[in-house]
Amino acid sequence: MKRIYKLSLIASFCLIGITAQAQKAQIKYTVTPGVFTPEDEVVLEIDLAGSSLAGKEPYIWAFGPGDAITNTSWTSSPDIAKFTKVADDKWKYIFVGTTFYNKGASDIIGKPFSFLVKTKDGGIQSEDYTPTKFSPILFVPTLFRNFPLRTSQYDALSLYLDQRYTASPNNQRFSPTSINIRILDAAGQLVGQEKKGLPIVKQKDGSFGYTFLPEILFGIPEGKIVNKAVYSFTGTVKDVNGATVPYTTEEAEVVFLDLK
Amino acid sequence: MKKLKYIIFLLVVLGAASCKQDELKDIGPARQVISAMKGSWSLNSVIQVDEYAKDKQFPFTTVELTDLYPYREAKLTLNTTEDHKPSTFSISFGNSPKFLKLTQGNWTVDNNDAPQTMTLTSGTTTDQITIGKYGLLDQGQLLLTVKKYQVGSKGERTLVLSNNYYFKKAN
Repeated sequence: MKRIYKLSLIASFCLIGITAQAQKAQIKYTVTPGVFTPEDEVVLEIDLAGSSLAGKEPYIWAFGPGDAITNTSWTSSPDIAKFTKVADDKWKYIFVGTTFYNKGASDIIGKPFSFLVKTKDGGIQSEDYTPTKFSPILFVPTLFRNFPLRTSQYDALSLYLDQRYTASPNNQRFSPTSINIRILDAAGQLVGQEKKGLPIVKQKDGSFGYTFLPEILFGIPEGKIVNKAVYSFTGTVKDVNGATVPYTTEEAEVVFLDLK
Repeated sequence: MKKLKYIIFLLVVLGAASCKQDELKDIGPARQVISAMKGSWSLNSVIQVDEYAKDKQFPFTTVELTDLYPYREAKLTLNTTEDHKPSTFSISFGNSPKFLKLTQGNWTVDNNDAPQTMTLTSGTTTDQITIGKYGLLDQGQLLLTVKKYQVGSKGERTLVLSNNYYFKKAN
């Protein structure tokens, strides 16, 4: 009897989990501009059609550099969190990072802009989305750098690793030899095959780089829209016993814009 | 005193009479940009410019792309009419990346005397290109720039990236 009780309890928890998962709506969205600083005006447009949020009044719940000023109460979002209707199930929300998060630009730069869409009472919510990170206003040297800073899938892209600008001991001392790159569409699906072990070139300033045309390296089919490139550098490092072992950095990404 | 007045008057009259109008040097005929653009050109170098970084005075504003792919295989031919107006064009990329949508058609400019923008057209497809410094034409070079803009939420366009294609006259 005890066993049946336990099993039914587990089953109930699973059911609750599945229901909660099912309630997370998958929505379509666009962010304009696709890459932005904390001081740029950003327009987030959403399309709720076909999701469990369709026909509902949507509210934003944003996070990343911390809670946005709209995140007051999950069960009663304030009016400032409400999207503005565009047409049918299409809505938009306009914000500037510094006022939206009530933080200085330096507290926001490099942090992700993450959001979900919910009903006022939080009864229905979308999945979490993180379209991009806030770009710097001033040039800040970092471990990873891409050139150009604003790019499209049709333009040459250079990815650099500068080991002078990292707090991680392994990132500082490993011997970089190659780069791994993959490109993803808006749904997060892989486009073409991930390229591993592409040889990097030492630059005059001591950094390492790799330059490529995405459409040639990945053979992107004509008309296919690619959302971002995700990359990491690889090489070798000495472990605690002095043995040479493979090492891969954390991943970084570049968002492709629809440049005209 | 009266004498002095006459002398000064005489000096002024003589001074004025001695003035001669300077002849301005002839600046020569107007530069014939379209005629200079006419002919066959080979792509010699490709430079990518991060206009966003340049505008913000960030370091790292250019990257040379010439040797990344066989860009030098690209050949451009610009034809003109008898009265030196743009007419047809053709471009053969060879194994170079196809950095323009069109391979042949017609080309036009925004101003025949001092062109800044060149438009390649075939049917409904167009490529818009900025013409670089005219002085390069005197050295047998042609700079064509493809500019890329980021479009903001209100439709405003911000130049963020340029690809500079330096051609040299093919003989």
